[in-house]
Amino acid sequence: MITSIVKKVKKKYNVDIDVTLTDRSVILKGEMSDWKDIVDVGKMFVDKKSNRRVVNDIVLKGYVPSKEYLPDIRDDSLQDTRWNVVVIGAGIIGCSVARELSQLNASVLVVEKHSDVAHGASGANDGMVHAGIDLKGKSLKLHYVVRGNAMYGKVCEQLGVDFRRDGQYVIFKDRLMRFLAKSMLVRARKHNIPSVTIIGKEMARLEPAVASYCKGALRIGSTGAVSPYKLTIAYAENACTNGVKFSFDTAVQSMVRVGRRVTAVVTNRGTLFADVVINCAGVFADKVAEMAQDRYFSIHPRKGTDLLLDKNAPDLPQHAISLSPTLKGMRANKNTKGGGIVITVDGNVLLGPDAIETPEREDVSTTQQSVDNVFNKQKLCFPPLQKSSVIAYFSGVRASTYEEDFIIERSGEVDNLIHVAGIQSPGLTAAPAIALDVKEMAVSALKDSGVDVTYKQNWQPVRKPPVCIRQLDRQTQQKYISQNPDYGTIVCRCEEVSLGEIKDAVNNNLGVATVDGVKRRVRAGMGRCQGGFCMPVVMKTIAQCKKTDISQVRKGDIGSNLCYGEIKDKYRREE
Amino acid sequence: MAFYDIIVIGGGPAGLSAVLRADKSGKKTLLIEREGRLGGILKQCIHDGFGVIRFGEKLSGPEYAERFTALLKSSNVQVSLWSFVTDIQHKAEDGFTVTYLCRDGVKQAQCKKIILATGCRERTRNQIFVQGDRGAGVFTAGTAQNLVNLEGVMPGRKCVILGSGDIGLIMARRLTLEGATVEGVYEAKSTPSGLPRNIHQCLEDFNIPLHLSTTVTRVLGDRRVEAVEICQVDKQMRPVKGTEKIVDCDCLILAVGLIPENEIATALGVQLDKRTKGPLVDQNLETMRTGIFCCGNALHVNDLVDYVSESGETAADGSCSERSGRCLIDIVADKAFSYNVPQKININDRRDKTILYFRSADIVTDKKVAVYIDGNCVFSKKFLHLSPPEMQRITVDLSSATSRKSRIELRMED
Repeated sequence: MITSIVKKVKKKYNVDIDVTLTDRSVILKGEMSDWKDIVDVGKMFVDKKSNRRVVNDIVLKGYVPSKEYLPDIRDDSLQDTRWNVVVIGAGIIGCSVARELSQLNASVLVVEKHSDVAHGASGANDGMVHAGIDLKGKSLKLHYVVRGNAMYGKVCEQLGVDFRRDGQYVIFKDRLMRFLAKSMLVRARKHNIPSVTIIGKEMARLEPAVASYCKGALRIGSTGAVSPYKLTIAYAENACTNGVKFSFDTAVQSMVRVGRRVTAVVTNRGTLFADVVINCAGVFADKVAEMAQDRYFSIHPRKGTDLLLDKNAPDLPQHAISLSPTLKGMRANKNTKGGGIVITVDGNVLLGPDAIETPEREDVSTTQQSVDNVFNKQKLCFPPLQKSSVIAYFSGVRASTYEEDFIIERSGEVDNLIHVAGIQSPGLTAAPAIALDVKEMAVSALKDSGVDVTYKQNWQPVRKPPVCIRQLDRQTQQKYISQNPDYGTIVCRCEEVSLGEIKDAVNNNLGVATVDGVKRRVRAGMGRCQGGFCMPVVMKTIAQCKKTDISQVRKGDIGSNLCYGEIKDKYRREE
Repeated sequence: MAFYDIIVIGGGPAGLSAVLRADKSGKKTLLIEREGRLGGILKQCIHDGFGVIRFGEKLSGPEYAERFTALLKSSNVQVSLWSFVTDIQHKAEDGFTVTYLCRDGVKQAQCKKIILATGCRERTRNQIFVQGDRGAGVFTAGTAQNLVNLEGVMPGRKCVILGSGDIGLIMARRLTLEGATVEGVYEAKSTPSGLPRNIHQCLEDFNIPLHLSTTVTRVLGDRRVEAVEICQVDKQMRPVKGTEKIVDCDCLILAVGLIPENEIATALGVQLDKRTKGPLVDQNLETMRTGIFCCGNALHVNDLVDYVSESGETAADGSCSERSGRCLIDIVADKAFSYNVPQKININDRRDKTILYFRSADIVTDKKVAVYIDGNCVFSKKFLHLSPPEMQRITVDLSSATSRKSRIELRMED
């Protein structure tokens, strides 16, 4: 079996791949000159029937990996601290897991190397809460996406996060697809995906701009929209309220493993001790596994770019729509649904994402090529789209395994290590369900470590939603402003965000006080002027609230200060 | 609920002159300003050159604003600061009901006429598709100006400026004076976008190089800007492969154009001009929705504040006079003009001293600008030099356009 694949690779790419089989992995070694080929070779060795996962160590010829981001800070704030559970990574997974763990009478620490939660893929996500209709067969993805989707209404209500379930439409260009879509109805029933129907002419009535080509559509009623970073923030804040500690600018650098246990975790803020370690490190999950000498899977980064349109732009679609793949496309079996048009929970139209395999785990720079490709592709779906309506675009990197499925399990080799890895799309949808199971795994791992945990009597699952003046009726606005006049001072004119809301955002319980942090929490700077007017006020507010100098105010991570001290005089004296 | 004849939205130069003029005509007025001080963007424009036409002297921005705010004290104008309009409703019997938030709560006021003087905003990096990393250090010129002049902090030490718009040029000089190095000003077009006087006074006098037909294609630096990639562009403004060059810097400042702020106008269903991105107006600067006027940079982006103030007064005069039923005809401009304001003429109203603002589409020399009504030339003026950055103003007698079938043409001739 393996030999025949090696032969196939030799024939197709003219390279010799060295293959090692272990109980849990098939490890590939070699050198190739094209990254995409390396990924393709990795995929060739996927065998879903076996328990072996692909560890692809084929290197790219001449490629020097970029330096990994490490926060430029070193202290002993965590030195010799002891925790029942340490969660590595504060994306949607780390934060949702932390929130479920906060039900326990246990000490929980989340370490995150960036300065805020949702820095990676969770912050650069289109926010679609998927139904899971595109998932076939048995997979963890399917299992968790269907459960997670069903949990969204309640979770978002508890956490005070906006959520809308407006459904999505997959449009058919030819009548044949309409016929084939009937198999989708069967699949939906089998997988417990509710409200899936096929519609005909109604689609053109809902979105007249698609009338020219639309031959019907698959309506998926359970698809929803959420702000991925606001949900992550809400999970983290609620976890924090319930006693979970967060340490930002904290990178895990190594682990001490003794026998079948991780005994210590070494960070730039000191060495700490944990009964149980949970790996939620996203694109670095395999690296974290390696630190515990437990690397039995590979993450191959896959970059995607999304485009955000101005709410006030003319000729915008009103519904989440995408083009159904053609038969040809279906045969090509791509790993992305090819993106689509999403209506974000904040009411913007979002286009995207694309899918580009890359060896770079942290490169979220945008390229004109991706921006153009995403735009042109979605223009096919909705012809009136105008490029001048684009107000922002951003990239994120998906953490994919070669099996293209989630890994959610206690390690087979390290008793107190849990991996929550390979959580790419639809990981956001799956997160609430994943978090519940991971909490159970942590409880049993703690038990195995001799720690019997109990549940808190006073756990507070409800997070009060932040004040959002623009969403309130006049009486309520009046009430808030009379209590605090800052709620009546609008600072971000595009998104109508008041000074009071900005102060609330700066004073969050996680202690995050950055301009990007404010932007994500209350949308100041997210509108069409992209912070041109409000950024100086936000900077000043952060400086005031944190009693620091304005030149200490950062956009995001350490080193991202927005300005350099006072003008001329002081600036020259300092030099 | 308080009642006013006229509510002016925006307390910058356009709104200030509009509200003072309306007050002078004996109207009961309210000025709504979203910031804590009047003057709009003038507050941060500490360079001189304001008011040469209007006052015959070179004033700084704050001084220019002060000329107007000083008059407010002796006027009956009511001013509401830190006030942000959230909604405007119109009913035939009550006129307009304006809802706004301020530090006292949610307020409502009624009025017969509204003057929009909401100014403009800057184009952002995303609108011109600058790619690359997203570190700190990319600012629009206006934001950089705010940081330097109002907050007193340095946005960068080694700056690259993209776009040769006036604020970009002024910031090149300002940052140099404050001890920063300006590596150069890059302009994708083959000609500068700013006024010639700013090219001389802000760049040449400080030995700051201006690179035409060159743009910034990429930003490098994921935490703070470390460098930008510049690239030459062809006539269609497309980057030319192989001309990429990395320029080290810690700051990228964008002066790539201004866009009239029309959120309120759009919400009111006011029809916009695709060319100016501001409302379509008649000679009284009344928009296509009767009772709503627009002036200053919200109407079209001006290059001199003097004309901004003038348009405020035109709008105020228009809103103070009562007239019945408009009959609007278009001013048809040929392709040599990038736009003209007003775009329409109400032939049921005075039009003997119509002020017409325009910009040429290209740089041209020795041209005649002529206005024809039904084929008869009613105005003609020779211009030695016309260029898109320089807005022009002419006063034209359009009285002979008397019927809805009259044709008013704006032509460029040899």
